[in-house]
Amino acid sequence: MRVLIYVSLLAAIAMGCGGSQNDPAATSSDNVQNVPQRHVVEISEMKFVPDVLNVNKGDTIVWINKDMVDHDVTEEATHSWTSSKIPAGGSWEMIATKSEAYFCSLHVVMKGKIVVDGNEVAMSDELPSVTQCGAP
Amino acid sequence: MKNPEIFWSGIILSSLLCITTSFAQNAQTLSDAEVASVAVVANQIDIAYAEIAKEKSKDAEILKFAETMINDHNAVIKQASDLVKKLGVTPKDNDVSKKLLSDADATKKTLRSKSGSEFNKAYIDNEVAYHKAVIEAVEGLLIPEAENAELKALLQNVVPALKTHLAHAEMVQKSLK
Ligand SMILES: [Cu+2]
Repeated sequence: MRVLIYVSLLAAIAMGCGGSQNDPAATSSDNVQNVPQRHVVEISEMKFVPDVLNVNKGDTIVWINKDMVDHDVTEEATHSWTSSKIPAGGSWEMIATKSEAYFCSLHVVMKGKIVVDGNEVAMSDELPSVTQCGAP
Repeated sequence: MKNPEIFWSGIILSSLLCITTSFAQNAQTLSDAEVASVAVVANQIDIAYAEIAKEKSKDAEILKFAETMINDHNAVIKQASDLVKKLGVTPKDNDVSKKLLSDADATKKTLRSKSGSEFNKAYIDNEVAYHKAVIEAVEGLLIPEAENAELKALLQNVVPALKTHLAHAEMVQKSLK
């Protein structure tokens, strides 16, 4: 029960305004709950599995290519970042900072989504959500 | 023949489908060596089409698609070659692989005769038709004919890539119009 309270407290802090590293709660006895997690997305049978991944800001996402062909992971809206080619059997990882849609630029019909802290991907005509947090 | 373009794209699609159906109906059998040959040839043909596209097209979407075809079909050929080596099988020519090759020769000739946007359209239309026909042949002929479990599994593994290529080709086809 105690753990649950800490977790929801941390989640609330993270959603309100980032920077959990200096949170007093992070130094509590339950600080193991604050350790960024690793999430795996398998690229298998020409699909990102799972195609929608819910994470917390700062978590690491690892894409593992289990297919026999190369793939990549590329931010969809403006191609602001890309893994470049992930060879068959290879993997690539990044730290989640915000909700984004991505695709494979080699097989443009392959699509996936990262949802950070429960925020659905911002539409282009909405205000960017970073403004309220002022993260560097 | 008034319109060779329509004639050929129709022939290519129907001849592969005919092969698939006639084999199924006559209960003819392909050995695993023959299945492997058809699989390798079908991949080589799409690489050859893509190489023509790289020579003739200046369209960024077409060029990217062609590059993906070369990479992916080479990857499939490598898997198939590694497997037949492991199984000690030598791919063997047969009626299906020969028919595929002679159809492909005709298509390559048609593609080479075109340029500019006419080429782009002919190339991507053929990619849509060819991937449909190959998916049909892999699912309807090669997978049922394959005896060896690993060969069957490899062919099954290839189907999602072929379907993704088809969806990708259809997307490019739409964007050209
Ligand atoms: Cu891909």
